[in-house]
Order: sequence, then structure tokens, then C-alpha cells
Amino acid sequence: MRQTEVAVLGAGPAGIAAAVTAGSAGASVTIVDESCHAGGQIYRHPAEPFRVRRPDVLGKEYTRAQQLARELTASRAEILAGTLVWGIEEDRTLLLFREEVGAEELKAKAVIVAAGAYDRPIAFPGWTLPGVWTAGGAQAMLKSQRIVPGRRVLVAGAGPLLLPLAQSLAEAGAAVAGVVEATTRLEWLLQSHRMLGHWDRLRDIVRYETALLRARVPRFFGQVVVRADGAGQVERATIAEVDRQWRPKPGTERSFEVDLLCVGYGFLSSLELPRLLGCEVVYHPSQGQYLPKHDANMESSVAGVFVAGETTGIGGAELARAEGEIAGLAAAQRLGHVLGAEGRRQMQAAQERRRHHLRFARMLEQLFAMRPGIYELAEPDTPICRCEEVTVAEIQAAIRRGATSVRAVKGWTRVGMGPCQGRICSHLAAELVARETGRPLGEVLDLTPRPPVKPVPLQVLAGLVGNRPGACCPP
Amino acid sequence: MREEQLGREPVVERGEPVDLLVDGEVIRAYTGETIAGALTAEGRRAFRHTEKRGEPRGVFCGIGICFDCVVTVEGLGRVRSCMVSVRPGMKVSLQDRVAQTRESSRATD
Repeated sequence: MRQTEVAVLGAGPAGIAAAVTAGSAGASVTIVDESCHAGGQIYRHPAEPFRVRRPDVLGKEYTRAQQLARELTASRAEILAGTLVWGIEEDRTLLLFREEVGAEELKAKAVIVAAGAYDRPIAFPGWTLPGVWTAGGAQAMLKSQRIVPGRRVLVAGAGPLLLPLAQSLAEAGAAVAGVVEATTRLEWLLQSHRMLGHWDRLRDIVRYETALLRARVPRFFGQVVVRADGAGQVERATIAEVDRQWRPKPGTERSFEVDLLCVGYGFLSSLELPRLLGCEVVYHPSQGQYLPKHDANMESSVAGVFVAGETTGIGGAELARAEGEIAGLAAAQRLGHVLGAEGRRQMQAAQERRRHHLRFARMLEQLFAMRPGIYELAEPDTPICRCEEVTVAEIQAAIRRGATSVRAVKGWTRVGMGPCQGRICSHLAAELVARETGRPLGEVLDLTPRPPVKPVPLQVLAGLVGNRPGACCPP
Repeated sequence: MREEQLGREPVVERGEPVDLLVDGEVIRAYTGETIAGALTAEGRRAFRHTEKRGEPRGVFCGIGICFDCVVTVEGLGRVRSCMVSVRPGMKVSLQDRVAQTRESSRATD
């Protein structure tokens, strides 16, 4: 069995910062990531065997990605890439699976969970059609492989990610039919005073806005995508104006012929691993999700288990980095490594940066918070659980039979029992149960993650160390 | 589409060309691309059909969360196509169990 002092789960900005600082404070560190390349979703980039010819197009994020990869390589951390953490035992033994190697175990004294986030799914008629992608998924394919998933694209949702996605799709040669944003320009303006002081973020916004203007990409504010249609794949996307609660106004629909619809309504934190570790979670109505409790050192309710980055709530790469630094230093300290003057200075500076970036995150959180109408777009026949194909009507039937929580609905309908383990559907099912029963969302969302958090071959569960031909990471 | 197919000066130079067998048809891809990437570059959208409603599905989350883009690879079984890199000679099957059952029942009818 592998052993380490600090196991860092996730190699995005938070995980890399945590690994680097815990290592610099004297701890032995092992960093694990399911992807073959460090950087996380935000710093995805074309990696070996791709050779970048025009780094200017990839912008400062590419520079940053390379810088982070260098920092990680230069640190003392052991890197387990292409490795899935599919379970965790009580004594902090992490159950790993690597396509190249098979099953492995890693025993850690402290764990830092920096597992990131994924696109918050929103169900509407046609959302399961091929060609309807999450905004993050389209961005990922474009960023890491320079493959454009459609020729004529509509980008819809709410939040700051839509702008860079539309910009990079247009840059790569797709015709972007429009960017559809649920909030209004006025709502943006009313928050603008809270952007003062966050000059880097403001510069980014201006840069994307200018690029979209130059590419003549139409913008639609106060509108949402209400349905997608097509035979076998998406051919048409329909948008409509919405009221303040994001309920569509009848008669305002307008359709676009597209072969790709990218939908992004912000993100949900990946919580399977902190919850498997027993970390207490609290419902945050402003983020519309549960989040792990933690103290100023990013230590969770379980001693020796730390959380950092999007795992603690959605806040962006810079906030994630500050939290990673704090968690890395604090984890090393907890294991008896004494922070020198440099370490203490770094801790203080990271705490200050965290407060600064949190203010911006709170502003975005408030501006782009989901509103009830967005959860009412799905029709009776619309699948809510994509894996098990459970529709709105089937969930409503379970509620009529007496189900008052997602767990009870799961018993009736199999909602959340497919390979995604409820990552996609549990919030949608919870919104539906809350609406139908009048119970608060925090009370009805009661699914518990169980290992394996993602499917692994049966030989792995049977304890056989299977050696399968390599697949995940390129040779 | 790979960006160079959309008339843009390519940002990247791709890896070595490799051929995949997708349901017996040869598809050209490049090392470093995922199976989902290679299929998407070919303009393929539906990777499988669901068991209950027989609906087409393809890439949705694109980052290994949703398991909608699952395909069958010889020697590996059912894998998320967005998470697995292409290899020379890789045999990929988009014909899921349901489709196969339907095909075989049709053949015996």
C-alpha cells in the first residue's frame, strides 16, 4: 500500500497550490487527479502530444496553466495522474483505480479535497438530445483538443462562463448565433460598484465583451432557452423572454437553427469525496447547494480533512488558489511541521487574498443565483434522471404516493441510481420535490454518496488487481 | 470539426494520426484526442441509444461526470468516451446492448 502524509485530491488551481505549499512546509505529498494533465477544468489546455503553434490565441490562461504545471513538477509532490479515487475507508485509506495499473490503495495522514465543480444541470424539453452540451463540456473539448463541437452554435444560461465560451467558439470558426443570458443588463449594472477593485476580473469581462462585439455575436439578456428540438440530434433551439422569476413570457419565443446548444447555469461543487470522508455539510440557499463546513484554516468538521477551491463553493481560480495555499500550510502544520517566517507570511497573505476574492464571488453568486422559473421548464415527459430515464411525471407520481424527499422518490423511481450517482439529477429532483411538497430544498435533498463514486471494473471491487491495456492517458 | 476544418489557421499541431475502427468503419484521429473528440470531429453526435426509451445520447457534460457518452471499447468494456484517449487500432462499438438485441431479434424474425 502506498503511504503519504498529505493526500491532495484534485489537481486544479486549489489542489496544485495545496500540494506545493504542503510540500514546501516539509510534508510528503501525493496529488491524485482523474485527468491525465494537471490544471483542472479551468486550466485545461492542449498538452503533449499536441504542440501549440499560436499561444497568443490561448491567452493568459494557457500561460497560467503551464506555470502551474511547472510549479507542481518542481514541488516534492508525487503525482498520480489519470487516477480515480472511487472510495475512501474510515482510516483515510483512499481506494484508487488507474487504467494503466489497476486497483491501488493510498494511506494518508491528512487529506485535502480540491475536487472542483461541474456545470449545474437544468432540465428543459430536449435537453437530452445529442448536440445539447454543457457549456463546460464544450469549453473543455475546445480548450484541450481544439475540436469545435458544432458549426452553428447557441450559448445559453447564466453566469460569467458564457462569454469566454462564446468568444473561443467564434475564434475557432464556429458561427455563434447568440449568447442568451437569463439576467438583465440592468441587474449587471446594479452590481457594478461591487466589481471595483477587482480590476483583473473587470479587464477579462471587457476583453470578452469587445471580442463578441467584434465577432458580431448577438446578445440576448433576460432570456432563457426553453426547448431544443431535432430528429436524432439538436436542430433547433428556442429561447424566450423571462420575468424576474425567470418564467417565460408567452408569445416571446424565437427559434434558431443550430447543431450545437451549449447550456451553462453556473456550477455545482463535487461533494462525493468530502461526504465519504464524513465531513459535515450545510445547505447554502444562496448557492442552491450543500457545502462542507470548514474553519479559517479550511479544515472540515473532520480533523485532518481539509477542503479547498470549488469544493467549498463556487468562487473561481484565484479564490481556489488562495484556499489551496491555506489548506496546504494548515495540513502540514497539523502533522507537526512548523511553519517558518516565510510560511507564516504566506498564510497571512493567502488569507487576505481569500477575503478579497470571496467578495467578488459573493457578488457573482447573488447576481447569477437560480430563480424558480428555470426549474419549471421541464414538461411531464422530460427526463429528469438521464441515466435511469425518470421523467417529471414519474417523480410527481411518486410524490402523490407519499414520497416527500429525493431518497423516497429514488425508492419509487430509481432516480439517481444510474452511473452518474445523482450528480446530474439530484438537484433537479430536489427542486421538483420541494415545489410539489412545499418542503424546503435543504430538507428534501437527502441522497448519500456511496462507493464506488464512479463505476469501476468488477475485478477492482472484487479486490483483484487487474492489469488492463492502458487507455486513459496518451502513451 | 477540428478547428483547421473550419478554415482557421490551426492553433495546435496534432499528434500522430491513428486509425480507429468504429463499428467496423475506419475513422482517422490523432493521438492526444479522446474517443469523444474523434467522433465529434467526424460530425457524429449520437453515441448510443437508451435502454428504456431508445433515445439517442451523446456527449453532455464532457468532463466525465454524467456517463451519457459511454461507448464500448474492445478490451476495456464500457468507458466514458470523453475520458479515454484514442489508440492505434482501437475498436469502438456504438451499438449498445439494446440496439444489438433489436438487431438480432430482427435477424431471427
